[in-house]
Amino acid sequence: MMRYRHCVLLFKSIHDVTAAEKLLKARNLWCDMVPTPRALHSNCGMVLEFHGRDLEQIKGALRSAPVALVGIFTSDGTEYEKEPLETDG
Amino acid sequence: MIYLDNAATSFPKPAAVPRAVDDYLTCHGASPGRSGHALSAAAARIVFEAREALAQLLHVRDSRQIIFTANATASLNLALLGFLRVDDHVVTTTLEHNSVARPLRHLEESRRVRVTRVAADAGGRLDPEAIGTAVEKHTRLVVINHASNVLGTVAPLGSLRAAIGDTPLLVDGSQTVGAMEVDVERDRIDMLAFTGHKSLLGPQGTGGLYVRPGLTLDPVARGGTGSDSESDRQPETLPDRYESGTPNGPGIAGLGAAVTFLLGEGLEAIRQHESRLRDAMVAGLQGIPGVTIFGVPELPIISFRLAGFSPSEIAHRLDREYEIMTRPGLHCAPGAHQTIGTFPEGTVRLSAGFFNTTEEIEEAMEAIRRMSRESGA
Repeated sequence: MMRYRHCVLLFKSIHDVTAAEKLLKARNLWCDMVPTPRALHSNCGMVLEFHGRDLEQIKGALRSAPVALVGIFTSDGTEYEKEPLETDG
Repeated sequence: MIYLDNAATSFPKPAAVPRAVDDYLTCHGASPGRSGHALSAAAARIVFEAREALAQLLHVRDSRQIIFTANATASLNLALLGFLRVDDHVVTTTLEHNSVARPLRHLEESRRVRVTRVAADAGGRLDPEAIGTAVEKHTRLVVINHASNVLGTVAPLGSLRAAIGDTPLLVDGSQTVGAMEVDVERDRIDMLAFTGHKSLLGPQGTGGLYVRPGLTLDPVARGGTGSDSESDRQPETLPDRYESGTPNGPGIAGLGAAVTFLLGEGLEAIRQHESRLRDAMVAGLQGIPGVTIFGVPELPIISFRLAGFSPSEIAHRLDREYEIMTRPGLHCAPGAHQTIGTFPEGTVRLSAGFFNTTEEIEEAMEAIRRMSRESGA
C-alpha cells in the first residue's frame, strides 16, 4: 500500500529538475516531470512526481548528486508536508 | 568549392547538426523550463544534454557551471563586465581579438580599469614569465587568447598558470575548444569563453562561458529565467543567474549534436587530422616563391602574404577564379597584426577544419602557385 497519495521533488531550476530526472530514471526509479502543484511554491515551474514507496531510495540517490534540491514534499490529499532531509539540520 | 575559412565559421557541419536543429524546430519547438507541458519538458532535456556533453568535453564536473550565450563575444563580455570593478588591474596580451580588446578599452574608460598588455614576439609567441612579471599583488584578472585567430599559435596554459600563481584566469577558447584538448581542471581555468560555430562544429548563435564554482559575476542581462518568477530579483542559481530570456533552443540542440559528434570522433584524432592539414599548408606555402608565412602555427590557421599582391586581392581572386574561400585583412585582431608587423593591410588567412582534405589543400596551393608565377616572384 502506498504511504502517500502524492509525492514531489522541488528544485531551484529546470536544469536541476532535468538532471534529477535523468539520474532517477537511470536507477529505474519512476518519476514524471509535471507542473508545480498550486499548493506548493516552486523556484521553477516544474517538479518531479514520484511513488511514495521509493522515497528512501530517492533521498539516497539525490544525497550527493549535483542538483539544487529545494525539498521533498508529500501529501495525503489535503496538504503537503516537507520531508526532513539530512542537510535540513 | 574549397572552404578554408573555418577560423571564422566552420563549414560544413556534421549531418547530425542540421538534423538536430530541424528536429527541434519541427518536433520540440517549445521554451525549455517555461511551461509545464510535454514539449517544454522535451526542450529542457535537449538543452540539459547539450550542457552535459560540453561538460564532458571540457572536463567540467558540474554542468551548471556552463552558461549558454550567443557567441564567444557575449561570453567574454559577461566575464569581463561581470567580474571587473572600478580601479581593478588586468593583465592581457597584444594577441587578443577585439572581443577582448574592445570590452577592456571600454572598462578602462568607464571603470578606470588598468590594463597591462604584454607583447608577444614577432612570431606571435608569448612568454609566460613576462605575463607573470606583469601580474601585481592586487591584479584581479589575467585574460589570454588560447590560440591566435591570426597565427594559429597556442598559448602555453600550463606554464602560464605557474607564472601567474592564483590570479584568476579568463581564457578565450574561441579557436581551441573543439580543436584540441581543453581541460579546465588541469589548467585551473577560472573562466573559459567559447563559441559554438567554429571548431565545435555547431550553428552560429551559440556559445558559452564556463565559470568555476565559487566565482560570482554580475549578470550582464537580467530578466525571465523560468525560475523564482514571483521575485523581481535575479535568481542566484546557476545557470539561470546568467541566462535571462528565451534560450536559443534550436541552436543549442545543434550544438549538442555537434559536441556528441566530436566526442565520438575523439579530439586526438581530430587534432591529428588537422595537424596534417596544417603541415600540408605550411609545406606548400614554403615552396611557393614570394610567399611569407607569419608565425609558427600549431593549429591549421596560417597567415601569409604573396609578393606583388595585396591580401584582399589574393583572397578575392582565390574566391572568384578558384572557388577557394579564405579571409584577408586584420581578422578583428589589430593588435596581433601590429605585433607581427602586418598592420594595417593584414594578411591572407587560410584556416582548415575537420572536413577539409589534403587534396583540397594541394589544390589551394596550386592556385597560389599560379598567382606567384603570374607575378614573376
